[in-house]
Amino acid sequence: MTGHSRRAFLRASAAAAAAAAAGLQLPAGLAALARDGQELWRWDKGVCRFCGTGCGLQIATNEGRVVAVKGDPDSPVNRGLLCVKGYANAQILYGDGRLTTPLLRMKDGRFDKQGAFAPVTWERAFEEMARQFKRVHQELGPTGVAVMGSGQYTIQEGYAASKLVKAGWRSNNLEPNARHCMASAVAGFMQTFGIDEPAGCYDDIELTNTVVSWGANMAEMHPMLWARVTARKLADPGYRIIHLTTFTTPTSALADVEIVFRPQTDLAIWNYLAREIIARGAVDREFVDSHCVFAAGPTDIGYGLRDDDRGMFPAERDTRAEQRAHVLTQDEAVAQGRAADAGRAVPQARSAQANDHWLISFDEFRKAVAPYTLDFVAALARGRADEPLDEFKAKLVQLADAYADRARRVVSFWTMGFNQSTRGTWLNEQAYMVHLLTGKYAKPGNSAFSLTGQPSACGTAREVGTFANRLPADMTVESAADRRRAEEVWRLPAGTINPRPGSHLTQMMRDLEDGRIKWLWVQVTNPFQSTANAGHWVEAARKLDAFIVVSDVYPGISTRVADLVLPSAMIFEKWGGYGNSERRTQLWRQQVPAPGEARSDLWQMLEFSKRFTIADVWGRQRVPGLAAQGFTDGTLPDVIERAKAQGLSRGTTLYEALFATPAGRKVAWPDPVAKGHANDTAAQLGDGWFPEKALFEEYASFGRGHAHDLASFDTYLADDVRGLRWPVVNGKETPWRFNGEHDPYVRAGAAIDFYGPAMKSLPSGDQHGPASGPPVSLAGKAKIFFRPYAAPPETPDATYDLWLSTGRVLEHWHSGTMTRRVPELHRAVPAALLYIHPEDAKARGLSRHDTAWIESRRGRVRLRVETEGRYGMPRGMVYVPWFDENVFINLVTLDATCPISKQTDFKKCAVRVVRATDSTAAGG
Amino acid sequence: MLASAYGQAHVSGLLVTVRPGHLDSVERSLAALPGVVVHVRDDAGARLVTTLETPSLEGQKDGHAAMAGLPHVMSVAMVCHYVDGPGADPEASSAGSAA
Repeated sequence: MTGHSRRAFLRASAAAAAAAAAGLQLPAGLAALARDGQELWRWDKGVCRFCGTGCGLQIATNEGRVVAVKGDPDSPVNRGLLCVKGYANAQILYGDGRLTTPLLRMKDGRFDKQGAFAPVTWERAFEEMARQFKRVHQELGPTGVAVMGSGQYTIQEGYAASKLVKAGWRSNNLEPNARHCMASAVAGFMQTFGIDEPAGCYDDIELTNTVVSWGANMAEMHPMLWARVTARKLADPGYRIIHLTTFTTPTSALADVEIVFRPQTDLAIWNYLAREIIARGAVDREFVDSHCVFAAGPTDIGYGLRDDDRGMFPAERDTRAEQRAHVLTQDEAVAQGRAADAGRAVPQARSAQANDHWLISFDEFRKAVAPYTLDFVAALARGRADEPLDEFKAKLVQLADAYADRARRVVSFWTMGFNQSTRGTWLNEQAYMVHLLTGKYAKPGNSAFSLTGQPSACGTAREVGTFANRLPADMTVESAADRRRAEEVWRLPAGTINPRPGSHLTQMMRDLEDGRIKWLWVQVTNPFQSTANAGHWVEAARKLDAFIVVSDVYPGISTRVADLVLPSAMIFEKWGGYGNSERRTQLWRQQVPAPGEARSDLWQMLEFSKRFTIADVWGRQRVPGLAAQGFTDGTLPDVIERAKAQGLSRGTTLYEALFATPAGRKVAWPDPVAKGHANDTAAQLGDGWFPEKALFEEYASFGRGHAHDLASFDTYLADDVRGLRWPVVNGKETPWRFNGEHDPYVRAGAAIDFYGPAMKSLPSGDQHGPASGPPVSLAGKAKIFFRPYAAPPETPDATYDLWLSTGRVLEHWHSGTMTRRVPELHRAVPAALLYIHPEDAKARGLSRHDTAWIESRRGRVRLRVETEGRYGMPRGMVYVPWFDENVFINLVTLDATCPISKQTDFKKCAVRVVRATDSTAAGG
Repeated sequence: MLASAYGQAHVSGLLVTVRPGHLDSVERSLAALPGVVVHVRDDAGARLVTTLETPSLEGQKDGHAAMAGLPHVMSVAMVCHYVDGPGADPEASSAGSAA
């Protein structure tokens, strides 16, 4: 094919793909040209590596390289369309600076914490890694080691990590970066429904006639879902969009109503809606009486901050003190039904009982929301001081109209605006509160939907259970029955799994700072950039007795603080699977080889597991604070003798005990499902089994029969399957859970059944606490929580006079280690900017493009000022994206978390902005 | 740089959604942009099927942004991205994948 004809073919193919995605016909000549050429490439299905939408791709390869990417026209998620990040799926494989060999800090031929990185073999890398592990394990036991994983782990990688850490090392110190993005959603689901993940699905976008976006900038962060919203909006004049946000975003452009609210007051707006729904008689009594109960919990639960002074910067003192006692504002006191306590310092005495809750009556609920009048909430929540109060009130009324109108279907969407809050779990529960009150849940077109930010935050972090307290299929390490089941599936001796949850992600960083964790392996994430208040953690990582391993694909802040860097294979360089926001599981084949010595994270874990015998880790172990029934306080039992009774020996490696088991080895590689595609992980292990398939099938056995059913590995790779939404029973997926017409787990004859089993036996009480009396069973019911307005631990004051919110921008994704390697994306937004209201800038002597310092009690960074552009900031608030390591904004942010979910609030802390007198350009 | 590693041409297929009533003016504006060809016009859906051809990967973003920035353009969705260069020749691909 000549250059000219090849170009014509490419153009015709591109036009054909675009036309097909739109359901349009190409002119005949062009269509023929596209058909002729397209038969010559090797195409296979894949899934986008970015965000949680789960867009389907088609990948073309040639001579070991990805040469084309297109939206999969058969994908029900994106229907052939992609956002601008679609370009990055192929290009991230080939960016400058790709890590291709292990790097160890060395001096004079030996590992030295102060040494410079030098290339080493995998053998040398694992040797040092194991040596350091055993040093720390000897000193501190299982809690001294930790793994930070990811919502970008493939399902199989997450499952292997969970098994290695929880079963092999008997440490529950495994956490995904999804702690930073999804934990509040998980806690909200578990407390409300007793089971994780949404009832609805993306089909609701077409089936509803009202979309309410709560703090979610979907136009930028979930563009293909927003494209579906846009298409509906253009086709139906009655389709309404209401966007609640703390500043104007591109999502505002399509909205019928934009409500700009003051940070944290979304808590109050929800309760205004509940009050209004009751006042208007819009409660769906039949739905509520049949399927719901009312509940409340403690309010004095702190902010997930450290309650000691360890490592404290002097300026942090007053914010940290909030963890011990908080002075109730007048608004809080009214909102919490204790007006007399306004101005009183309230001890945050129930921070350890933040998860507790109890039943209340409907009358008690109505009494609790009574203070949330339109006047009260409007005055509290108005985000733009220059917006007339009556106009703001009118918008709140329109919002209430949408939810209260029985004839209107409503889908509420949210992401980090809710989840990243010191009351993130409450906000999730408040969304369900309003949808349950109005009966607008678990029905086609009526949904409260938590969007995810990572491609497998659901599929891996949540469903596999890579959180420090979780096991597969919503099980937890605290439950004796769940541990027993996991030990059976994993063929472990009884008593192997540690019943004490590990440290959550932010706590891991604090443990590193305190010397309670000294060995850390980071995979598929960049936590030293992405964790709030990062100045502490970067310094902690460089302590002489800490050993930090980072597996990554490109250098970033985390690789720079590491002692050992391991080069990883990326998405289409390995087999894998992701689970998206709507419970859709999608698998893919390896398409191309990884460069140099880069290896899959799965291979890294399996190969490293060969360095441990069960004698190394299954003897008696010290676990500080362990006090579970059946365990001697502070110790895990020696299970080696029990293991011997199961046919293992002291010298059996963890690789043999956990992964290449007799059952695992029966799943042979090569396998016809590969259709000629390679599997470098299997080839590099070299012992004839198919780890990705064996691990997936074993993992799937946890969920089958337990409302998390997955189809077979081969089913997901079939040509005519584009992922399936679990539970998949008898080959049929479930678009709407808890709904008798769609969900096979609903009791026969029931229209709605909230069958989730967790936390379904509660005592009764009133708004302020439980009364004595036996617990009541709530089988089949969901909880409508009352959760009050509560101020955040840090608000602007005379010294730090502005709110700071952080987040993403369309072109970059997370810390930008991948997307910043794609020149077109990097050039579009080369450095993170400080978005600020022009008057706020002017008051500080700043103009657009000036250089400024942004400073908090914790740290400061220098960056350029932007007073125009895509975000419209209200007075008193600034926004800084966090993708840019040269504008290391997490030196500034606050590590306060939701006390229930332990998820960090990246959306609000107090800062000041001053002009940088140094003329050096900022932002790199 | 990626572009030099990949070769001389990047071709993407883009679906442009237009505010109803403005299809004519957007079609004319698109056709005037370098590298853009409008292949199909969908009056009912107010959409245009286009291709964008640029000599570099960087140029794709500029073109994409220019299209998205035109008056009355609601959205520009990327449908596919092809790279024309070493390793991308379909005939070579055919030979290479015969195994």
